[in-house]
Amino acid sequence: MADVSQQTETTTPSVAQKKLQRAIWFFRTGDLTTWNYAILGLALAGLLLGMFLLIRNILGNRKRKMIEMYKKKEASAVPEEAENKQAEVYLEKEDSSTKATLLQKEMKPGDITVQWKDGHIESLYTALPEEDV
Amino acid sequence: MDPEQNDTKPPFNPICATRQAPYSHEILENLDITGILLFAILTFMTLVSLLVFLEEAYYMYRKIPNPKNSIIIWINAGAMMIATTSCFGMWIPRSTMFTDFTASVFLAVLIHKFQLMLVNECGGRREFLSTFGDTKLKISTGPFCCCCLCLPHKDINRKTLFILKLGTFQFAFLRPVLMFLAVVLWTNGTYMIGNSSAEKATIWINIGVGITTITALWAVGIMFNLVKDNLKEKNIIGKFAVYQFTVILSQLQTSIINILGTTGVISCVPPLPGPSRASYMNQQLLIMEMFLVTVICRVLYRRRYDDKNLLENQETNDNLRNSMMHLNGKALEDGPQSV
Repeated sequence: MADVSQQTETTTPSVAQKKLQRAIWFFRTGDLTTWNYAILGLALAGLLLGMFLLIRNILGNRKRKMIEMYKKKEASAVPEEAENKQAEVYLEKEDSSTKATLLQKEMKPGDITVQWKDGHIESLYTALPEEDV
Repeated sequence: MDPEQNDTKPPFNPICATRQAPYSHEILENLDITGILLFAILTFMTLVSLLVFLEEAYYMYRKIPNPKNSIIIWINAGAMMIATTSCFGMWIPRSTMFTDFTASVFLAVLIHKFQLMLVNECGGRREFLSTFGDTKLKISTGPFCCCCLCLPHKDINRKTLFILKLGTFQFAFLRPVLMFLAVVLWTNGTYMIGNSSAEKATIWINIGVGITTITALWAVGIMFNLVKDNLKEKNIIGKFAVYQFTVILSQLQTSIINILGTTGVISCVPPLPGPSRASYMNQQLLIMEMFLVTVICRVLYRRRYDDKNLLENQETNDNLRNSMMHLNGKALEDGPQSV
């Protein structure tokens, strides 16, 4: 009887000990520094990569828009030269005066103004539209 | 064990034993220089992705007609929302349940919007049906890739399209409801994170969420398989890859890391106990990933529309200029005073 009770006494402590050991492992305190450095490095790399892609995309879009505008200007410049040269000369003279009037925002009677989608207003009788670069 | 040992303090930190998330001032007090730097960088990333999204949304709103622009804006918002909610969860660890809830609601709607976008890019419902009316639908795609090869090919008609849309809609509806139920039961103690016994609601809700998720992903997979050849020039494969990446990261990564946290693989570091530290790590990773996804989304979703709009402007400008030339020529012939 005493032996059995002694045995039970020895078995239950080992079970309790195992539980304690498990609890110690479960609730162990770890070291945060490795994780912190690793993720800091990763965050910096991610930030640089992200900013690089973003800036490249913004500049690329702007450049593409400029190229399209330039091509547009080139394409429209060619038929102008092919048609009445006189008209071009006349319009060029007109150009400076209309530009001046637009700057002063005076309207001569008979002037037809065109308001483009992007907001700026110009006279209909100009050869070269004002470009917003 | 000696009775004396019972009187000594337990050999582990009481903070770890409670497994309760800390208050945010506790976190901030315990930050060393790397921690401060990390917080600063991650918060900066979140702000940048918010700004990028806002600029993108404004651009889309201006340039693209309804209803396409709202779908595109929702899809672009997905990554930004996950980054923002993760940032909040990182700063305030006790709010993880709510930030997860918000992020999952957004993700659910995102998946449905992506499905709608696939139909919309084909030109709307009527265009879609007329283009694909005579093709057969391959069902053995998506998450069930190679398992169900014996499933028959279906015809594509209005009913099939409706079922495909329903597949994602049920997710957009059920996921928020299930998450709402989870949050409500969590306050009551019935839903406990990490507890997989049958009486607690955790396992049932998680199973439900898993089933609805897989169904929705399957529906999107079927639709994508169908339209991918048609929409190749619209960069649809890149968009789909980014969307899949977002969904898989936010769902799979979160669940794996949470499981690791509850089973004790991720150790406790005061002031953060194990499961809380798992969410903390997950949120930091998500912020970084979603920042990159937001930037990549901007690259993908902006290019096409930029070119199209530019061409439209070109055409209108050319037309106007040509008509101007004619008018100018006529004005010169007649003389300026007669105009």
